[in-house]
Amino acid sequence: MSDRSIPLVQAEGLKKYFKRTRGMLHAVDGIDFSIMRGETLGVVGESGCGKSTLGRTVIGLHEATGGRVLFDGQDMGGLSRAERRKISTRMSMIFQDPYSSLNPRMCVADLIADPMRINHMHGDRYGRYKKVAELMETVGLAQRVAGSYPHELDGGRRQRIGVARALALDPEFIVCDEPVSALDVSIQAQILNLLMDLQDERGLTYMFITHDLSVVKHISTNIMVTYLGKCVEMGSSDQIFDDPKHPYTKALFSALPEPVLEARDKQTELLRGEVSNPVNPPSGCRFAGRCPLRTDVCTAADVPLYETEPGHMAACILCREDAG
Amino acid sequence: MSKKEMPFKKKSRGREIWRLFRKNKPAMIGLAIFAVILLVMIFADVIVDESLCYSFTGMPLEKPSAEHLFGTDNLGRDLFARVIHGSRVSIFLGIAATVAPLAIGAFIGAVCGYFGGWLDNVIMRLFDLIASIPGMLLLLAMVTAMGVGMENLLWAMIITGVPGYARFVRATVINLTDLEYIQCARSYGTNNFIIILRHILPNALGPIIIMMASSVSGTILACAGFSFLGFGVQQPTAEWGAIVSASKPFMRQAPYYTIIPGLAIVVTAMSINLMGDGLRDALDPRLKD
Amino acid sequence: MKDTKANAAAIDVRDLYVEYRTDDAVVRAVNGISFRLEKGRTLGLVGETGAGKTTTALALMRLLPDRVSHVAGGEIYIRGDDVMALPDRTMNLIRGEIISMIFQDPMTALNPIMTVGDQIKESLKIHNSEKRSEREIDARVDEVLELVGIPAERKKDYPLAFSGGMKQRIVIAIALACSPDILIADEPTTALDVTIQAQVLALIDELKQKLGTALLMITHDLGIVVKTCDDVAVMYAGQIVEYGSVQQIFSPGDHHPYTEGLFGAIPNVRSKARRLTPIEGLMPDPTALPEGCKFSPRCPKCMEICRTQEPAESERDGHRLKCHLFGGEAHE
Repeated sequence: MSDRSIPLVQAEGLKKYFKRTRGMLHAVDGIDFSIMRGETLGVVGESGCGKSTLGRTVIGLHEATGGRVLFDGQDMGGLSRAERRKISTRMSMIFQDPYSSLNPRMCVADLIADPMRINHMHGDRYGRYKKVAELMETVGLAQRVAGSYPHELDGGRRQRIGVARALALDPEFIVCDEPVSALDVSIQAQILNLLMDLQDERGLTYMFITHDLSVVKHISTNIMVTYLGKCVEMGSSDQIFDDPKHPYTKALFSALPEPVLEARDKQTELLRGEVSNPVNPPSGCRFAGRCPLRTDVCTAADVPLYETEPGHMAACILCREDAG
Repeated sequence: MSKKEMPFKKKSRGREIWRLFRKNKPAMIGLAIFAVILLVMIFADVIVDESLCYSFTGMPLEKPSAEHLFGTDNLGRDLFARVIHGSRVSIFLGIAATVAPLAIGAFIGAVCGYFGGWLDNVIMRLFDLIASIPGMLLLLAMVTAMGVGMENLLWAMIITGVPGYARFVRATVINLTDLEYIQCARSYGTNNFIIILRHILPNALGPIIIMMASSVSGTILACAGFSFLGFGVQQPTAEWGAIVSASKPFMRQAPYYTIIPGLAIVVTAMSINLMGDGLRDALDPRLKD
Repeated sequence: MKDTKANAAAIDVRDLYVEYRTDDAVVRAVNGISFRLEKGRTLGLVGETGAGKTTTALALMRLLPDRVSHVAGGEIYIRGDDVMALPDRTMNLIRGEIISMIFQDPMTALNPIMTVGDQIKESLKIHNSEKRSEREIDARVDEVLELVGIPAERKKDYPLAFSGGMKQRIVIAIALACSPDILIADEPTTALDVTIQAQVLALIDELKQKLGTALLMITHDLGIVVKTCDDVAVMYAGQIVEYGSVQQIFSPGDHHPYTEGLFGAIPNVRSKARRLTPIEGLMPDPTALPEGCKFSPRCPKCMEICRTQEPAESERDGHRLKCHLFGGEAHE
């Protein structure tokens, strides 16, 4: 059926710009990545870095401004409507906010059944509801809530509905857009474990978008750190966590409040300033304005990704020497 | 197990709304009053014969008595019959002049709000133009141009009402379009028509129904007002506003002539308003807890 | 024992109960909590959604919405004053001057149509007990803005012109304008990015040192607690299930199963394990709290007695635990 040696999802020079009154907003600005079948790419970044837009562009909710997305080797841009529709049933998305991502007028069973109904799968209502019952079992929702409406349930259960709905079409690839950031810690762990179990059972491929480094550690095979629409560092989970290269990645680690006594005396390296707005950004490293190690070279021209060791890349001129 | 047996039961939203509505006392009072008015309207012929509206059965301006419960008007017609049968025209006009522009406005508003773009721009500018002319003036001008009468009043109400409703629905729809569940529906291939039908309209319906409930009473008042001014329903048709209008010169001699149909208008408007408020509280699941 | 004003604790809460009433149910949000916050110290109130943290803070400020909620029992003293007994006027003066609060969302805590300078000034004018002149008030506005790291000339800007982190600095500036003795920070960094969170936490810490303010830090993040607090109260279903110094809570030893569960559930950047260990089940329904220990339905160490009998509190060296595992006089 499909070739296992090629990546399931691949992006090449992907760009998404939005028109704003003051100019072009470079939400995603030339991003490349590939995700192998059964693996997870963690996308980390702060608000406004374009990670959500990236996820939506990959799945086809936004039309890319430039570059292309390949799914299972096929260029999504070159497909006919029907082909594209067919391929899009093989991917789905879990949204951040379990409050606004569920239609308040639909009951749990109908919410989960909706993707099947739209794509004419699993026959009539009876067939769809049978599948819904299975899915609810899979994600750990009691059958008795099937007739309830979202506002009657708590955040954790709502997010389980979101997961069940994302699984409804038996997709191969799921974009998880901050699926646990609106949840309490104890519930967050339940959902993360659920996602990992589903991946193991069904061989799912994830793109896991989050602002929280500690969440991404557990679930990711590879990690991409983004800043203002650009990838600043990419590598395997171990490479990023054991040996972060980019000053921004380092700053993220330093700012992460760890719940251990040693953290009490550790001096946090504070970053100056805040994430700026990527409307008509100047050339050069996007992080230069906040970087403690900035030099004149940084703002002169765009900084490419340098490969410092196999599979580990960072967009910082300090890594140029390492790359050799 | 039979094939038709579903694995689970859905809770009925209608029953839930009714449960909440029932808890709201003022709304229930409104409902009770309106139910009585509707019954009167439906069984008007049983209560009193329609021909009595137009026959001169008494002396002009008789005081209320056993024979003429509400007295008679300046031409000696039975006021009781005229008020009872007038409910039909008044309430029909009020509801028609609300529902028709609302339905048209909701459709235009939903399309404009959902798709945006140049069409939205053109239509909204056109509506701005209509809205920049004082409503009353526009209505009077149109009725004068088309000729006075109930039908033309209805047309004029539709033309002047559509922009307001359209803009209201458009704003509601724009707010909804940004929500993640719309994005989500799109992500699994739902087409625009179904998104509007299944995800947007049901969620916009709450505000629309509330808008409708609060407008019906206003429209009944407005139609009565136009008839009162002589631009709407013409004599000898029995209609509350027209009756109040006809009573103008006799307010001092026969206050009941003005007060009784006036009261009918006020009570109807109030009962609909109370129901609308109750419906608003019952419809919004987010305000519930 | 009655505290004299001079040695009174900044905040002293004794056996506080708060209820919310809805149409057909009573929500027991706070169920008998007691704690003291001494002058110049920082106490962390930790817990998840529905633990009663914010309700406690609102009760302290006497800002609970009257229409739906009320203090159902217990006492609150702020610097020795009985908060519940104070007349409204006095309470208005206390808020801002003695105790003030930083809210979670800086986007909604500021009035968008007032310049930030005017918003700081407003609070100063209400609490002008020192009879400052207009000039002196203006000078104080500049001073507090500089204190939170915002150039004084930006006081003429509207909130719209500031980013999220800067807005939170302004919220802090307003809270600190009248030099309160006690500051309540309700999830002050939850709406902010990590790098900005680090900046704001550093600022709060610096100000605390400089001004000697007592701080009640409300958060769900144990990482923030360990960095900023001296003492910790872990809340669950409206009760304090464990209380102790940061050292006691964050060192291995006897802990409430809920505290252990919380630590286990946090994704840890250092751990190599893939799976996390969540706390099973859900927060209890606050309109129908379980019999006995409130945590018993989710507790992995639940015993027979836990389901029927509410555990008493045991204490050793200031480390308090509300759990049947550590019953008796002192826990071993």
